[in-house]
Amino acid sequence: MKLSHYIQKNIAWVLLLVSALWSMFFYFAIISEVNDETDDSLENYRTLLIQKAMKDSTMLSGNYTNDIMTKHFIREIDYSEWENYQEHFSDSLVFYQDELEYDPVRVLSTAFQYQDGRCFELVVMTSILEKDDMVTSIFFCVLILYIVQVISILVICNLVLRRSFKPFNKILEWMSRFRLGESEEPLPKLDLEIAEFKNLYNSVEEMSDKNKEIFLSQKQFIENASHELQTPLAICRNKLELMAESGDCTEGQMEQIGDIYQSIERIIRLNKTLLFLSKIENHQYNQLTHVRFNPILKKVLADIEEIYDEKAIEGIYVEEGEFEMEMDEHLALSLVQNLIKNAFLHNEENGYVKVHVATDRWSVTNSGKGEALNEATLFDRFTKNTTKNSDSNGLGLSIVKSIAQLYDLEVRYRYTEEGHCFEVSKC
Amino acid sequence: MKILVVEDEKSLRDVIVESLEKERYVVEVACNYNEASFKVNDYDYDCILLDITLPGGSGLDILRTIKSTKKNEGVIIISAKDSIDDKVAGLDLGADDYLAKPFHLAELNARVKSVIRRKQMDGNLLLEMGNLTLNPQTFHVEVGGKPLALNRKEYDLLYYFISNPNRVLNKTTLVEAVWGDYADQADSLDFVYSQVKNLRKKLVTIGADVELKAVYGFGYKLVLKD
Repeated sequence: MKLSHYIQKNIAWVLLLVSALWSMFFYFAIISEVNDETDDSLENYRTLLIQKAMKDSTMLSGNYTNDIMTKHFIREIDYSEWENYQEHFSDSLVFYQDELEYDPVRVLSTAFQYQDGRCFELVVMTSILEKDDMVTSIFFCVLILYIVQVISILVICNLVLRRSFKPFNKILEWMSRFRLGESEEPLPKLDLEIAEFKNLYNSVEEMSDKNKEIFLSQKQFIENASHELQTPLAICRNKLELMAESGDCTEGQMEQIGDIYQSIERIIRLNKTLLFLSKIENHQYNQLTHVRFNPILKKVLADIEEIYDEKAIEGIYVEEGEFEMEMDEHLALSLVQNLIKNAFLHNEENGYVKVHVATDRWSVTNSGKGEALNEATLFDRFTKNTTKNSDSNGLGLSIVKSIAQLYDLEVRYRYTEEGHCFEVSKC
Repeated sequence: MKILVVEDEKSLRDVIVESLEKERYVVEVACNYNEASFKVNDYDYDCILLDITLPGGSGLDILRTIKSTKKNEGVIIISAKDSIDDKVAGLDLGADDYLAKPFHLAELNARVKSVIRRKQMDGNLLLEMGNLTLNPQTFHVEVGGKPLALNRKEYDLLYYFISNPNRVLNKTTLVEAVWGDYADQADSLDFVYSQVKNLRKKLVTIGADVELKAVYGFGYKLVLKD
């Protein structure tokens, strides 16, 4: 739900409640004011009538309709009745001939004593406004007011929010584009009026700077660590080589030296690969040349097929077009080597590796047992999808991914009837 | 044969020296820029192993000095910076070879030998051991005058062995020597075994007086038959 809708929804509810309460209050206020006025005029009227009746005794008998609005009745009552008479107001309905309906009236009942001691009851009534009509009209008035208010809030909300949220949206867009180590365009300069957005802007800027810093120092750290490891590793390995050559060792010792040697070998390779990865990510391979992939693919396939000829894996090369692009030659080679090597490594005996090249894509498919690999973690560092090759360092596909990212290539994995397929295509 | 090792890391320098002395070279060392410049200016060497990052200056400057004096010395750069730029810069300045740390001693031996061979104008380019001769330029191998037919991998292996005679070579060293970049998978260790087996068989069949001896648990070495 958009913020503007959210605000509108809430305001609409509150307004509805407020309007309802307000209309009730307004109704009772008006009614009581009207009753008050009516009662006052009835009292005046009563006084006038009694004064008039004192002078004119003919008035004492019969009912009178003074005009459309008011009527009065005079009736003789007992003395005792007069004594106990309480003047009071009441509401009543009277049938009006000309309107053919009952209309509400306000009634004042009172009693007075004539000069000769006779007692009379005086009932004065006047037509007052019809409450039903009043309720209806107040209801419609308030309803119209409510609708107008909601509409204007809607309009204001949309206009104001859209305008004031422009910088916010820009910050958001920038954040969604932001990738550490990849696209690091600076946060656009924004003229911010609203304090909250200003805070957001500053926080985002600070956070991204800090992240960049951490990222860089981490990268630097890996690179430096790998670098510093080179010499001690070289010494270890070379000392072992000399030791093995010395001829002083027993067979058992030689075997152990061999094991240590191979472990060091693995560390050295891992280290080299990490250095390579950080160099790729640091854009240290930036010699763009026009690389023709077809001959590279063909040669690497043939080379690796030869290495793995014990496994009798057949290399199939299918050419449909020329895949060419501007990139660093060294990285192109590494990309091809890693994918094809993988295809051979995770293969079965008498299997095949098929390289297919078209103008905008090339793919490496290999036969192989097992089910599809987990694509989500496939390209992560040190993820081993198959357990059988404990000696692969788990960085091959990371290298593939890093190189692909550098040149906007898309690498996709899929598992088909033919087997595991890695496809590299231009975006 | 006189070799100068310019390397500031003492332990590494020591192993290099020890390894080269086994090959009967006369080895001298320099551990910083000044010492290296001094020795390069005052003496002649057949081969110089040059580290690039040195206390007091860059190995590349020493390389410039060597090349400007028109001395006919082979220079192999040994550097921890395994970057293409360094490699290109070094080779552009006239270095004969480039070896990134960490390297195998066997690899170093092979490179040193190759550089020295190329520098020798009298041109005995052949590598010999017993009745086995190998010509690295024509890829021709002979045993007692009879040509020995080898496939590429067998040739690479033999070249490596004959460059490091009598020295135990680890299986992984051999894998790397023969298969280069592709070799970082453990599977390939088995392939070394089968390649060595083939090569050994061929050497026996043709009657070579050298043999490939297995060193249990570690690797192989090429030795003269008793």
